Amino acid sequence: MPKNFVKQKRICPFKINNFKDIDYKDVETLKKFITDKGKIIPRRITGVSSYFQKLLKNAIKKARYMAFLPFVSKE
Amino acid sequence: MEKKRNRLYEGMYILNSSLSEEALKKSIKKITETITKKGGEVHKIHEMGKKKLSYEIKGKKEGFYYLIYFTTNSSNIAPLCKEYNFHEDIIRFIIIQTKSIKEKLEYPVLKGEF
Repeated sequence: MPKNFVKQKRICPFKINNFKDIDYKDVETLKKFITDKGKIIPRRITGVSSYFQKLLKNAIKKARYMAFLPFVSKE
Repeated sequence: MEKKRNRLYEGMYILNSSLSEEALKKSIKKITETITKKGGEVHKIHEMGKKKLSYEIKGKKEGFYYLIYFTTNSSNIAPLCKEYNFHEDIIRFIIIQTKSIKEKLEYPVLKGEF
């Protein structure tokens, strides 16, 4: 680890934008948290809080069932 | 024992894209009638239009999306699902408990870097 390394504090993107819950029909925001292959991005990379990651996970799984999002995409 | 109560639900249905307009109206009537027959009440119907499915379901690549808000007794949900499984035009459906009825399906934009 470098000497002058200072860990920046990240704030959850959903907390900044005053989200109260995440809807599975809101495909535009859900698409920001999955990779090109369709996997859910872990929260250590996106900085989402654990509470909203749980809601996000449930929303993405419902959206996959209703064919808004792919289970796997070949790209 | 838990009390059986009236609750607010939202049901989303994907209908066959090869149906004509009249057949669509008929199948939606059939869907709403199955709710009202058992003492339920339909509040709002959203037409979300024709959309591409992100994967094939029963050999279909497109479908009409419909969202229906309704209240019924919680004991009616299992027989409702059973009846929808026999419905030919429904490709897929989901029934979820909700807290409020949305008049418009618009969502705030997520800003910032992450």
